Amino acid sequence: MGESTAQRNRSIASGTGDSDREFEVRFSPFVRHVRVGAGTSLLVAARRAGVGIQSVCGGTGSCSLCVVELEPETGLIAPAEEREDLDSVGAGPNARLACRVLVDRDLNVSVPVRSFMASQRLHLEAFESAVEVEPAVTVRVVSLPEPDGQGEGNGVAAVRRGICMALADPNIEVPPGVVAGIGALPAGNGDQVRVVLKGRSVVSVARPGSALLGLAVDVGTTKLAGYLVDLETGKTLAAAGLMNPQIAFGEDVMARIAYAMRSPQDARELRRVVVDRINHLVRKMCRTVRVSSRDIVDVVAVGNTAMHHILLGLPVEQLGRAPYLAVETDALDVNASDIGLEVEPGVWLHALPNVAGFVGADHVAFLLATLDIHADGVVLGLDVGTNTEITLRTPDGMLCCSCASGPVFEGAHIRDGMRASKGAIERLRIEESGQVEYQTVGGGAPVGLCGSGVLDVVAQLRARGIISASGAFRDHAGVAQGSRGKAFLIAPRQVTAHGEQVLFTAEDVGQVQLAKAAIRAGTEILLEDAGLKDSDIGHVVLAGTFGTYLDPASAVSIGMFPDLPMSRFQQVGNAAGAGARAALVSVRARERAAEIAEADTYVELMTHSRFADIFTESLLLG
Amino acid sequence: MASQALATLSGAVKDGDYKQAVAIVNDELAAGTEGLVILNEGLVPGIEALGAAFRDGQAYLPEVLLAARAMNKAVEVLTPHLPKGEAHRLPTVVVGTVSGDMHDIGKNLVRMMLDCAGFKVVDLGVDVAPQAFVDAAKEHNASIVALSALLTTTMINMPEVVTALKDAGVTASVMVGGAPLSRSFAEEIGAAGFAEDCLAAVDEAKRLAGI
Repeated sequence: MGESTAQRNRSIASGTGDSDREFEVRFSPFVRHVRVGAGTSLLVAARRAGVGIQSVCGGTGSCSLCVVELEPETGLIAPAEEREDLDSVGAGPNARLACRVLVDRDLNVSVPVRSFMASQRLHLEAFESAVEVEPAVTVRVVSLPEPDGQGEGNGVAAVRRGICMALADPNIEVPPGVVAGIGALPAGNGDQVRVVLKGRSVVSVARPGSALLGLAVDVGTTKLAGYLVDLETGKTLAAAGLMNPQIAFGEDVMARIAYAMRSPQDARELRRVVVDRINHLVRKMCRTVRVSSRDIVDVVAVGNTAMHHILLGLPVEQLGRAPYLAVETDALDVNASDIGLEVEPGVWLHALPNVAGFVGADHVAFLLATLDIHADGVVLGLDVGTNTEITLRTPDGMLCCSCASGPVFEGAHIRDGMRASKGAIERLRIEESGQVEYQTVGGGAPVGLCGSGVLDVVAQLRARGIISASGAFRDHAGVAQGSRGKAFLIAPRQVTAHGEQVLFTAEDVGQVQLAKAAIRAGTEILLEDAGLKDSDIGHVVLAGTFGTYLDPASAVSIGMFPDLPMSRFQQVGNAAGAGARAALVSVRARERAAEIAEADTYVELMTHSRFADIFTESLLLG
Repeated sequence: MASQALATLSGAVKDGDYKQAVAIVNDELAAGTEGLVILNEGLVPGIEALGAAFRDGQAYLPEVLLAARAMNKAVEVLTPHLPKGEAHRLPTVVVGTVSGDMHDIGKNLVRMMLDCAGFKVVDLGVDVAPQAFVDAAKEHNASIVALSALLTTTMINMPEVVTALKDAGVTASVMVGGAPLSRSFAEEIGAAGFAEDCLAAVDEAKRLAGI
């Protein structure tokens, strides 16, 4: 039943609509238009017009990525549930999800930058469809033998014996919780049941034809992402994201570790809140695509090493002090309900391997999804976040490191920084005249700057000579002397949404210098250790939210990334999620993840003899 | 002429242009200018000017790090030309980053600023065990032991050092610093001094040394 709903939802997104009535859809800022039949979704229309709009959920309305803006007079207002999703991503009043709008008139559609699928974007969909579906669980449809007449009826022991007999294997393990669930099924008498196995352990027993679902979770320090996947087709049915509630216990990984170190109760509390939120995420996704969480038969989890350890209940103290050791770097399989996930009692959770204390399973998942796309040559993969993990793949092997880039590109530690929500300046240009042009999330009046905007400001200030290479402000009409140092006026209070100035201060410039120097120094040290130079890099793969939205040209111009042609940069979005989904549907992908984690050699920057010198040199802004 | 070049040298240090700074030091040495004059009239005014800008919120950490690099590279060239002992007439400070913590950028800035101010500095490096602080403080008859930590998870190793020093009968004053620290934390663990940044560290060290 769940499957048919999902299929129905998919058919909406791929629906061709009536062919007898056609309407014209125009997409700006692209000069593209297309005629489509009534009932065609805007997402499909966009694809036909050659306009790339982001979407990972297959048009089921659950990923909230395909935001577009309609003209207010169109009157196609989002229903309440969609409005809630739009609000959660900071979309403006005229926004809709492209997959949710069915064309029934001529439309002018404006596509915000955040929804662009840039031309250089790596199409992970292609990677995902290439993953051969071969789940870690096996499915057997069998007839349970009739009760053996020894007075046990359909009791636990009889069921256990029945399954062993039906599978012709006396050593099948049937966990007690699984047997308890069988009581709800029709009685034996030759009725067929579907037994899902992980190795020789029974995961679930259900009616034949029940959906076979998998759950992939990416536990980030800031955000949680969940994916519900059909394990028979490998298709993602739903995707959803929520904030990590552990933020209340500390913004960064170190603060969480410090909290967990206070007492075993506190460590358990950290785990409990995140598991609760994952359960919430699962319920939300199941509701969206009308499936039952009882049909989830396998789980894959990724996260940075600290999030991984907290989720699995492993000790974290040693992650808080040099040499920052992971307790476990191998892949782990644990019972999912043991850690508190609301899934059937026989379900297992597979945690992908970690590389080191600050290069975790999320980075392995990112590499799994992106590394093999480029068969040859040198690939530099960066997952830019509060900690930026970098892997350099060369023909001779792989090196990785973790850089303390800090939260500036998430909008923190910046005077007018903010997350990428409504009113955040996401793109900015300073004209030669000193005039500032910008674009905000949602298109309305500005409130502050999100990460990609912060990067653009520094690049543009430097390009216009308003700041020196060492980061000092020079005399310029846009620069004012404040009580605490100089600042550049981005938006006067007359034009902002909150009636306050949006400024970029000398201190903000310094924060960006520290972050970008950390990232560049990490890159340079990996290159030096591999005996390579910048120009040897064939592809730079950028992941993470900021990595996906940033303008690579800005990053290159301030020396954050090596000076390479733009065609070598690729922005991949949440590749860790794609890797986790691959590991969910494919045992081969799990094996590949283990190979990657094994091969990726960790380089500690803090104790590297060249770090201080390269870091200091990298502070200069191009 | 010389004073003009030394003013340019100050500017080069302040702007973090180490190549220019080193070039001027070499030129001045070749021209016969005394090492101590180059230090006191060229390099030190440069780093002090940046320090003042830093204190006023006109310069930030990256500029300080770049200036520190220029200063260090210039001093490296200059050191063989300086009279021994002349530059360090203030008491001895033992500095180090506490155990479990490998961060040394902040600690190195403090070392350099104390050094410029005339303190004799003994740098124990990073990930320093409590006993190593005790041994160094005794060996060098230190007046001050300065502890650094960058992480919330390692600053909790500071009280152990305070206790170890006390138990060993070391009378040197302890001062602490690092991003997650505060004066109240310093008071809580029984450290006599606290500094917000590398400039405040010089003032605090002078206060503790009674200068």
